[in-house]
Amino acid sequence: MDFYELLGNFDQIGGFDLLLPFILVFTLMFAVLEKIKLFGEKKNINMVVSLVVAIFFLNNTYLIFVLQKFLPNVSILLVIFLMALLLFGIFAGESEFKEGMVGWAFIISIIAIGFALFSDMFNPIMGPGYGLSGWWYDFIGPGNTGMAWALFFLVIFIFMITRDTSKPTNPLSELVKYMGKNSKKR
Amino acid sequence: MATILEASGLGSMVSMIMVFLFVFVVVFALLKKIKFFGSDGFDAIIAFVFAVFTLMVPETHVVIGNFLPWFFLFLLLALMIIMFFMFLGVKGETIAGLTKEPFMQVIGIGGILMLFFISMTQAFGPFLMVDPAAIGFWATTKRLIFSRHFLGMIVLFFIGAYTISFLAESK
Repeated sequence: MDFYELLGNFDQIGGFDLLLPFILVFTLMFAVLEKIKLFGEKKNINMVVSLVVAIFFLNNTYLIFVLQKFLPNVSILLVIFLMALLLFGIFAGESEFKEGMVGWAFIISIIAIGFALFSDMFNPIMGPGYGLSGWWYDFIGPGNTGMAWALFFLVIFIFMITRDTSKPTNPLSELVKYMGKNSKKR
Repeated sequence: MATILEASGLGSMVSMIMVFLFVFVVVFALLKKIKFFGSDGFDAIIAFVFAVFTLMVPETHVVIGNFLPWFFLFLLLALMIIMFFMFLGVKGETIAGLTKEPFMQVIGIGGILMLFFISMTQAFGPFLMVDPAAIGFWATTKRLIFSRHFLGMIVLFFIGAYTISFLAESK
């Protein structure tokens, strides 16, 4: 028996559809309940609540499908970020985390998770009207491509015309700095 | 594709048991935590009554059965964002500080409320839809709340409140 066969057997007995999602949901719920101590120090209560949530989760096939698409995408993004950080590390060496970077990290995290949630982003087979990213295929359809580019250049053009060159920063970096500053205060 | 509960042929039975367990355990734990009665026996009886009453309304199975998995997905998304955040080098204390931001709290509470309303809609149909011909207290209240005048007034109040607080700032 090779690994392909082993994984095939695991898939056939419902390992990917039932067992792994159950373990994930149960463990995460239990860990979060243990951490926040919503019901006090009672382990058995946390266990029952986690069990109920996990079983209800298994009863929703759509959510299992989303989970199976979402988690590999998160892994891919983590690998991409890791490689990017390694590449930056070659040139930058050791660097400390500065104030404004918190805001950027927040924005990048949100975008990454949104990207991972559009679960078919990495699957070229999926098409218009499919899944969460169907709007993207519809938007970049043959009839809209010209309009999308026109809008993009319009925004760039307006930004170039209206920006205040006397100030060294732009509103986005101000916002990011503000977020970073506020979160550091706590 | 059949779900695991449907495939086992015990769908409604297991669903009922899970709803009972969930309501019983949560009510019991909360009563025990706030020490309202101070006795485990009283807490258990009250939790049992709550759970049985919940079971008697079939729509509650649908609401709880829909809400809990979606809530978990919401939680998972938040955890993944935090994970990315920490992966990029942000410290745990900074994240704890961010969660105290009113903006974050509004997103959290708003998300949970939205999931709850979606679950309610799954069970009771489009119960928030306004029917102009319907009569009765609930229909009239919905017409009042979701009218253009009322919602417009709320928006105006929000803008007014924000403007006043913005102008009154000492900085």
